[in-house]
Amino acid sequence: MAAAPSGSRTRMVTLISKGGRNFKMPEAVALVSSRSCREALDYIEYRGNNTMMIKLLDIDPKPVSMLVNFCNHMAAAATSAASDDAAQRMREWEERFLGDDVDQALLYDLLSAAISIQADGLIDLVCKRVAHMIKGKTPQEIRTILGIQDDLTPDQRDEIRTDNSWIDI
Amino acid sequence: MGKRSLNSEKHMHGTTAKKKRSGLQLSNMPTDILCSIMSKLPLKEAVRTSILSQQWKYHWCCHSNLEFSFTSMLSSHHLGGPITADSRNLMKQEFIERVDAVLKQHSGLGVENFRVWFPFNNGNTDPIERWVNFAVASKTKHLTLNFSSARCIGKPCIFDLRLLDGSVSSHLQYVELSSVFLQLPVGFKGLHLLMSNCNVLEFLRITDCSMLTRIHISHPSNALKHLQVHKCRSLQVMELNFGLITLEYSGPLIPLSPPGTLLLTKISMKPWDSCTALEYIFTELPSTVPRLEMLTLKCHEVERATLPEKLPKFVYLRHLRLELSSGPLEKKVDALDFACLLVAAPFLEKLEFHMWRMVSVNQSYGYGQQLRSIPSQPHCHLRFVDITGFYGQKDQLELALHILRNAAMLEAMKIDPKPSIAAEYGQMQGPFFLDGYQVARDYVLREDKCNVLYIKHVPRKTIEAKFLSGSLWSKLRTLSYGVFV
Repeated sequence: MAAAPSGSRTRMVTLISKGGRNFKMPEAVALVSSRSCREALDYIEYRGNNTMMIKLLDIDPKPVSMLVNFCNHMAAAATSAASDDAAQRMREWEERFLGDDVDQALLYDLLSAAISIQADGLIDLVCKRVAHMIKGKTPQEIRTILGIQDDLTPDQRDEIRTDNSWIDI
Repeated sequence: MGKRSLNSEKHMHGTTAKKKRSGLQLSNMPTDILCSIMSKLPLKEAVRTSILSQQWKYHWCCHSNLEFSFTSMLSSHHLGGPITADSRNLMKQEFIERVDAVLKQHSGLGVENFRVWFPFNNGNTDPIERWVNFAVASKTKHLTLNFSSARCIGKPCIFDLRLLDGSVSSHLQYVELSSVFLQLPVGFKGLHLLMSNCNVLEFLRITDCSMLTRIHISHPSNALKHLQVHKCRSLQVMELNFGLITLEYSGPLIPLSPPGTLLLTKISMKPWDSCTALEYIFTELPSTVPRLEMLTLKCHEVERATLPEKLPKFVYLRHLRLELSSGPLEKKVDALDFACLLVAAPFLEKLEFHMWRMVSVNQSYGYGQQLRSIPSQPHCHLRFVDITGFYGQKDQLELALHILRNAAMLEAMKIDPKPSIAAEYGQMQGPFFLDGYQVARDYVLREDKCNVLYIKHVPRKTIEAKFLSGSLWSKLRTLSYGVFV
């Protein structure tokens, strides 16, 4: 935990989701994962109730709570020693964290939340997940997975094929 | 019936609507997020996404890992059929065309890695120059040019080092050049210019650049921390910068300069010329690298070292790994000589001896000879010892015993009869009169007061079977091992 200034309680960071729900985490936890918190805390002086509020008013509560969950886990992992076991455990946790129950809509909401507080670690994790979803798939399969409409004209399609003639597309 | 179908229709509608929404969500993500996703796909697959939709035509163009190799760019049908000079040329042309096609469409931004692995040779420098210019202009951080091939066909491809400078300060942090003919203008002090402009370059690896004679990286603005130089057979001088931390070198034995003190903490050396490990350690290293923490030395020994009277000390050395190979010798190498390392490195924590010896039939192994011991030299920091290639020869046994007796803080000593390093010269020939495992069990185990010894059970016949021809082995199976007092 970061040392609090004398005479005050532990400093907290509060994320406010859609519907006004609050999700708190200690400042030290936020500092590990969130770049904007690190940068902001250089400038902000805590007043009054010792908590920094970050508004994520267009994001649902579930992704925001997952984000806080992620930050807490990263902060805990940062204190323990690095080892092959620890790395393996982290990988397993990441797989469970973004398991099959996390559908795409939730995934992208989580990504938006991570972008808002510049949680680079989580952004990277979600990007890896999306890449994994589309790796090895044919273009039509990718369109189905990502819900993309094929709006190319035949001419455009030909142009793309010519420019990249070394790949069969 | 009707009701059910209505419900299921509603359900499908819901799912499609959700998919559409998530599709929009993804497409509305910031560009750098989409770039990050694309960059996590192999280049070929990323390019394929250009056909998904209008919006997705150019999302792949900021792919940050441009890795061009035979496997990534040419398809398997190129491998069928006989490989002639013509087909090789065709493949090379095809490779160049494809790389050009990718680079033409690429945005030229956000490139982190630019790697080319392809056996280029015999002139043909234009594409390389184009590509390196692209890499430098796109501010790539990692650049790899690896033109090595299994067969050494023709002259290596010429590459002008000045290309790496660019007009603005370089962004290169990591450079790897293999089998490249480095073109240097007359009077140029080999690699000097590269170093003076590459202010953030931290890692440099040069392999098989046969015309390189000098390496000067002593410019003050150098950020170089890690240098690896392998197989540059014409190298004569290597002048290193002060901030260098690790050095890996294999090639002709050359001095490390400047003779002033360097900050090097980790060195791995594999001199091609035969040298004696102890002589190298005590005469070549001390004044140049006083802060050495880890040393790996691979030597082919031909004779015993003659050491100076007073041995210098390495007070920072924590980990020493020696890979020693030796042939059948008149002046036999004596492993017990290495006991002096315990005195020279008083804070050593981990010590590794990996030995490979060619044993010939005519050598006698001193049956019944007295085991030597040298005066006690207690060592208070050595914790781990790893010995492989423990054939059970007398000098090896004496060394193991000496360490075991003197290392008061030893936590583990591993002895493996089987050699773990490969031999560069010659092959095993003669019979093994000794069984390393048995020798270790019989003579070393009884000195193990603190229960730190671990002897790997590798029977003599396993080692022999690997190296001896069938007929010779069967004759020797009945021989028993020697006896020491």
